[in-house]
Amino acid sequence: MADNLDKLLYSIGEGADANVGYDEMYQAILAESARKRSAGHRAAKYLSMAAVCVILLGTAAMLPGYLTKGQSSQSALTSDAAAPADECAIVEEEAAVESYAMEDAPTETTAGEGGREAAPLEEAESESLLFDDAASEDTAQNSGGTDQCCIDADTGEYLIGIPDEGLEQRLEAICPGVTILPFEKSGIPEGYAAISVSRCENTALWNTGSGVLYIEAGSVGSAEDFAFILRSACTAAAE
Amino acid sequence: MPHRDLESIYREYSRMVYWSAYSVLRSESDAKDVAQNVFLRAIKHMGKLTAMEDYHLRAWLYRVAVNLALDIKRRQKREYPVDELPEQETSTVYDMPEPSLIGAEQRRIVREAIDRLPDIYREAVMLHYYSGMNCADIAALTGAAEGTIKSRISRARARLCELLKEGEING
Repeated sequence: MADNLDKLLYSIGEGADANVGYDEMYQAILAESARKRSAGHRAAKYLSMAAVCVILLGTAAMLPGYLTKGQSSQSALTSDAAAPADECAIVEEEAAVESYAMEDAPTETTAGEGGREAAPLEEAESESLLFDDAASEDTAQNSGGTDQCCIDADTGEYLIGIPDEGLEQRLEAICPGVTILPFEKSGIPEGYAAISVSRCENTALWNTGSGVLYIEAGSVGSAEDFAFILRSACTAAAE
Repeated sequence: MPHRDLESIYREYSRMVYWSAYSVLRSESDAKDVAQNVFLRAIKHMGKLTAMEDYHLRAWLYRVAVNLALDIKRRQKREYPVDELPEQETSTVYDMPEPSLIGAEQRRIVREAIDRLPDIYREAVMLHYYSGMNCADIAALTGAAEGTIKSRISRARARLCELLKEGEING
């Protein structure tokens, strides 16, 4: 009886498995992967085109200012000079503006160049400040802080916020043989990324996103222990 | 360091991934969606996956499959009972006919009975009988003890035997 039941279940299993269509599924995976890659390439292409447009527009917007500044300084410095020299200076000026537009530093010094260089430098500094602010805001949002820990009442899953820096090393220190892989999961709160933990022969497998952990209690012996250890380790590292 | 490519990973683990997802969702189309997503993620992280040991790779694929399946299940708000099945001897309960004598309709009924098993039992049965994994491998994958897996399979078989005995399935 037991043998017959085994045979029946294996037979049913084989029949069901044969109907899955693994080959078609594999082809679908390859096609979808190719589609995503192509979409990624298209996005990169459009982004680079947009970036070029922004640079050109920015350059075009700054051009009249440069010319005005350059002309005024030229006229001040070369008021005693002959007319052919003026023309020459203007030609050099235009060349310098063009070379700025190409994002190369001018190789020749011209009269009034100091005045022209001041504007790009200020622009660059203000841009740098803007990027720094954005980066710090982004980091703060992504990290979720070091003291965040909450439990999803419905699923019993643990959400812990830790900083991204040195995450892999810290986890490896906690649990030797740890492997970290990104895992995107839908429906998690903003500022958190996903991690799931499974035990396998005395090692733990982690899937983690941008440094904020999402611990699923599912197959872990004690999610509370993991949560506590991780939180302590990461908080200590942050201090 | 093991050398793998996507195709070899797929050939080796697609059954496990599919039936893991199916055991959560009980829907062929949803399980296929999950399996495809799992391998798309595998493509994304192929660099790391190719360097993994076999059991790590298998555990990663399993966890991603189950997580994705659970995501879908939560979205669908489908709830299934997770009751424990009683321990039961199966040897003398029912004189089961040869599987070759059991017709397609009866097999369909058995499949439906398997689908109605509580989650943990259905997962063990599907990974064992459908995906072809042994109890030790299922135990390593799910984090349960090997004895627990054997017990789950045994109880699931007992439940199916009950159905057979009641005459719902008869050759």
